[in-house]
Amino acid sequence: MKVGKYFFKDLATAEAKIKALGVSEDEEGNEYPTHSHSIVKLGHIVLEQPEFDEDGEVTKEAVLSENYHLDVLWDLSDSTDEDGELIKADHPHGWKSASVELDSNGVHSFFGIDYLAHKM
Amino acid sequence: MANPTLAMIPSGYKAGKVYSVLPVNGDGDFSTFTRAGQATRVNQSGFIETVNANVPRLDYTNGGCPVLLLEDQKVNNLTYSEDFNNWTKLNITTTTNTTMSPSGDLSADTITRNSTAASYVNKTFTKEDEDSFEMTLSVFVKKNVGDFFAIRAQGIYPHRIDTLFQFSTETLTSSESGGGNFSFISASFKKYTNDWYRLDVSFETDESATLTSLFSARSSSGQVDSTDSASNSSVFIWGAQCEYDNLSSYIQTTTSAQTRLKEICKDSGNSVLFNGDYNSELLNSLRLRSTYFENLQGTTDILNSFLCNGVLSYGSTMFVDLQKSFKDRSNGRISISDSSTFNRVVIGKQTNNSQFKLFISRANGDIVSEITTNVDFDVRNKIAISWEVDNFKFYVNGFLVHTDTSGGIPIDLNAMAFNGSNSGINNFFGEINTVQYYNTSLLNLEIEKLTSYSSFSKMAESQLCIVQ
Repeated sequence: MKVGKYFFKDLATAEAKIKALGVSEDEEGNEYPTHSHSIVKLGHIVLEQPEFDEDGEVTKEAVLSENYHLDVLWDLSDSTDEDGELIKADHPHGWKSASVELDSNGVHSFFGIDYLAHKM
Repeated sequence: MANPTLAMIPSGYKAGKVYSVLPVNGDGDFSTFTRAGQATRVNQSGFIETVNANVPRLDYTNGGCPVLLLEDQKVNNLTYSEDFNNWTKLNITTTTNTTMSPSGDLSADTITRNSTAASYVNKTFTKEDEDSFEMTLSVFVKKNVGDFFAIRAQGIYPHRIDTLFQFSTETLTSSESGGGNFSFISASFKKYTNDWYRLDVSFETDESATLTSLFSARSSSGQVDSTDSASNSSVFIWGAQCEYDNLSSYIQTTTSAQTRLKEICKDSGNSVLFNGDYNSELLNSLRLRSTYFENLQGTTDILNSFLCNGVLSYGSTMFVDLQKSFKDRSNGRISISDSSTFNRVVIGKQTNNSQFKLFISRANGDIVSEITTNVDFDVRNKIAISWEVDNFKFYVNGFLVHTDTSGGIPIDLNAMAFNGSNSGINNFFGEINTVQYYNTSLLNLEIEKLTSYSSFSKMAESQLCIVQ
């Protein structure tokens, strides 16, 4: 189990990457993922909270990230080869270049799973 | 009436497993239960507690007997769900850890406003996309000074929903204003121990990038930005949550939004247990041989030809009792299958959240019999399917809703699961009172009794009515 944090230029790019992980359709035509990873769409995350006046109107807009953010709990584990060497689990193809590494949980985490202890 | 061959009544569990009470040898246990992270439940004492990864949740929110709580992946988008000192404040003060919270700890805060029009705590987060979503905002509150509590969910101002709760009358009123397609769906509350209430309001958002949640105490009716009759209205507050779709169990957050991961529960029973009621010693031994000696080609074919030709009376009944079926985007199913989508008996919700689809398939997944029927997802539902060769019956809450009188039966069934075919697909999410399997097709009167209520009071309570 590994946690990865990613950003893409927009939602469409992010969704294309997610779809490339594998999807299929059930007999009623509903699309479902064929992988067992857990993906959370965070969107353009808030960098600064908005401010309001006495009437509830926004006096200072929220500052949002220009990028589209995702967190992924990968159903992947480190392994060892026949010589006992550790083989670290790696990002699926095409994800590494979009990954970001933080020194905290950031704006999102998986309940009970510490990012720093499980980061990819 | 016959005893069930398999009965799971939520009672025993350990990490990774939900025990069935029948059969006693453990063959009916759901031997796979997974949830990669933590989650919360209401324990037997009525307090909210966190359970560890892969531990099933027996939930006592409704009191009485527990339910097996199965939920989908959900995000609480509100950070600092229990610490309102870390929310943005306007003409309001927060005092932390002032009283015992619904978790039984001294972790609930007090927010105290003045009489100024706009007095509230608020927090903003970004949505998945600049699009309209169905969302639910919830919070635990307890009365202090003043009789009212005001909630607002707001997109681009003035697009919003305002909700007001009055403690003394236990009434919730909501109104939508400002346009922008920001629209009200529903509001409700649940009473917890020590006079706590969990209030929730569901709505369709506008297409703004962000959603803002605002809370305020009040002594007079009004909205979060109306003047108040008192200058010291206050309320105890804890556990704020804003999530996509319907309300779910509480997810604690601190510095970051948190995701509770989905639950998968499967692998109950085996091919011997689901063989049905064989009235022939000869065929019973044939079936066992076909199960254990797969290299004996033709054994299963011989048996099935007897069954399909009606030589045998071979019947089965599947029964589920659901406290609640969650209104979500899933196509959730409860099934007994051959661990494929070919042979199976399925009780499943539709994505429209107003119907259940009940069906039986065999051979290459050919539908033998099916019915799509309206079901109220907010109440307890008892559903049964009985099948034998040329005789298929579907019951919902005591009523026979569909029959078919021709067709073969599914074969090689080997697993019951809270998904479509003992896989990880089409997982069912809801509150489970019991699931049962009988290795006989029960009589009509027996199924009517099984799927009905034992008293008028229980029927009324199940439909959320109060008998006076």
